Amino acid sequence: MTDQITVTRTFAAPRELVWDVLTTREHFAVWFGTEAVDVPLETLNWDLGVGNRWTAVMHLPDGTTKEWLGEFVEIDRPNRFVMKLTDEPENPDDLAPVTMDLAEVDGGTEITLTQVTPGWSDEDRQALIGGYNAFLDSMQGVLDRIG
Amino acid sequence: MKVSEDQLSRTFAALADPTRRAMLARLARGEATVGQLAEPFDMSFAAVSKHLRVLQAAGLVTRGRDAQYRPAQLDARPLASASAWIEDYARFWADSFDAMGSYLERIQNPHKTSNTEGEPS
Repeated sequence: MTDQITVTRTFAAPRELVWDVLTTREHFAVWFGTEAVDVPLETLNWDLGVGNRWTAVMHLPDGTTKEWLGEFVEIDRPNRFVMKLTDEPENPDDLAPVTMDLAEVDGGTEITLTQVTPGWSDEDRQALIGGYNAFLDSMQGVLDRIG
Repeated sequence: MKVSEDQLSRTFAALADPTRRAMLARLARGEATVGQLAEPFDMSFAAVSKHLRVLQAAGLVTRGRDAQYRPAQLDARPLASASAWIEDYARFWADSFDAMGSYLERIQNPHKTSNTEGEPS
């Protein structure tokens, strides 16, 4: 098992464009949640601004829908985009923060996404990032036994 | 994302502390008393007991019935749930980024169709 809280991806596009696709309502509706799901633009209530909340309805391939609630936390174009989001909007206190850092790299723009669970302090987060891999590796044998 | 978020929050909160992670790593090797758990740390039994209670509340540790020693045992099932949850979220974002990559390609090369390998004119 590896640390899968961080997802890194390089896009063959300039950073300003990646930023716009990441943060603009019309673009976000297209890519959020994979190719297989549909977020109809009219269900996406999205007004980019720190402290604003957004909502969306995701249509899944099995015909069901999933409601999302998010909140913009940090908007630092084109470097860093932080929002909280949850697919359980009935529990708005459980909004999980997601940080996306954009960096110019060879071949385009790299996004590093970090998602943490709700209710953590920064100290908790640092401790987790520092120790989670080693800890989970040591747990692997146990997980294999119960898996 | 189907697992109870409350349970996950407790699991992650329990895992966030380095002392508790070390205690779990110790318990992965076998059950231990409070005294045995306290050995590697410069900590009072009371402090160790407090960490144990957090781990018990998270469902990661069970205590034996022996009134005097009550050895602690690891219960790794919440870790499996937490692991699955992390993998679900990682997959969600990885899939979203796949979609974003295709979309970026489409909007940068609007005249190129998906089955055309040639250079854009």
